[in-house]
Amino acid sequence: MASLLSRLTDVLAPNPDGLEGRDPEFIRRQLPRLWLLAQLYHRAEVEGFEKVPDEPVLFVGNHSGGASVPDSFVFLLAYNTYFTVEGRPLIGLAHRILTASPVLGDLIRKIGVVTAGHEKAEEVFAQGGSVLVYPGGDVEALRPTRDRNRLDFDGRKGFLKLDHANRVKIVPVVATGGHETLYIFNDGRAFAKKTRIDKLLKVKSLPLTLSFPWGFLPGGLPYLPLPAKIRMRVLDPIDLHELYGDDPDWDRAYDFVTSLMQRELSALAARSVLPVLG
Amino acid sequence: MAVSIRESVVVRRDVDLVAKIATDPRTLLPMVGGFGRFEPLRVDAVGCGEWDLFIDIGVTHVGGRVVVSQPDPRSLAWLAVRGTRHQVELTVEPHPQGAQVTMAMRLELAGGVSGWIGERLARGVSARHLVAGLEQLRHHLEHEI
Repeated sequence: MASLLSRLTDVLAPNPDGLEGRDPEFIRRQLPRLWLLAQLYHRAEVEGFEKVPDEPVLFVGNHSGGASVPDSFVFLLAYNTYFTVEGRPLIGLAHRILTASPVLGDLIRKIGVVTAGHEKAEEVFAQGGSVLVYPGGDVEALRPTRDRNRLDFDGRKGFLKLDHANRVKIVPVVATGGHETLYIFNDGRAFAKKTRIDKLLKVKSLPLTLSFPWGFLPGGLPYLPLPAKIRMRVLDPIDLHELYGDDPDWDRAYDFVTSLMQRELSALAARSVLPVLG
Repeated sequence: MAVSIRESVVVRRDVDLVAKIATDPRTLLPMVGGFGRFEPLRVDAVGCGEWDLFIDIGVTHVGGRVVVSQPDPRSLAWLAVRGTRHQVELTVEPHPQGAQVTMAMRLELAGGVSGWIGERLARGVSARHLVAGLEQLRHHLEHEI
């Protein structure tokens, strides 16, 4: 009992919001069971890690699965398995609503998640780590299910400026299946604006969702995902300096990166025979 | 019975350039990665004629022998004469942003009730293959030439 209590205290202990909050020992202990769970529950497949250069990079992904974002966890697990816990650390940037949650926030900081912000990302690069961002944020994670295989970065180009300023390469990552773990009926941007949730909580989308155990819910709370097959593909690195020089045309760069990711996302989606089953 | 699937993509390039690339079977078929197997058999100078054409559905290749034709300079079509019975028509039309490419597919499976169920199940994966092909074409035209 004492051992169980001490483990529970260990899991729930507060952690700082930064690279120093990542707990390699915690990841090492949890990795085998969590990866097994990801394999059995989501039949997770992640391919293309051999393309990642041995230097800090900015992983850029499409965001799916409402507030539970199961594919983000699969990616963190897969990264730590492939590159080892002692290898180059990967830090994921997440919405404050997740990192500020009392229990969940501390838990995800231990596995390498921090509150999204350019300064945090720059600190990680300076310390030799890589960063994982989802430019589409809550808008993309809460897009309607009918658009599950569409990329939606909502025109946000901050990730390009972050990447360019830090002279790191972009490594795009596309994923399917995460958005089949719940059902989202509509685009909730207009409703979020009308209810001023976008200003109060900085949540830009408030659609009607159907998830377990909540049932019908406006917006998204962390839920138990359906056991959908998750596929992820890491793409070739993109060097913005090489492609666009020191003063890039941001619209052109945005257009290229999102176009390439949409092409690969659609190709990955075509590998799925049936939704959820994969 | 049969199912029909229709998917479109807007390409921000001149409609004539899009039509030239999209209706050239020797360019289009290798570019569309979902076609796991494609091989020209008896084709003319522009690539029209008989091809073996299969798409990857899960771990199997589904398709057969098709006859490819170019009804007009802005369309390409093929009709299965062996294997899975299907026909596809690709059309390129002007669009305010450049061109709209549409792929329409009609698929017919044998087997009575099980064939009918199979057709319904195949509708989703076939649509995703058409979208993937169109996105490859769009990216190639907008960023690679």
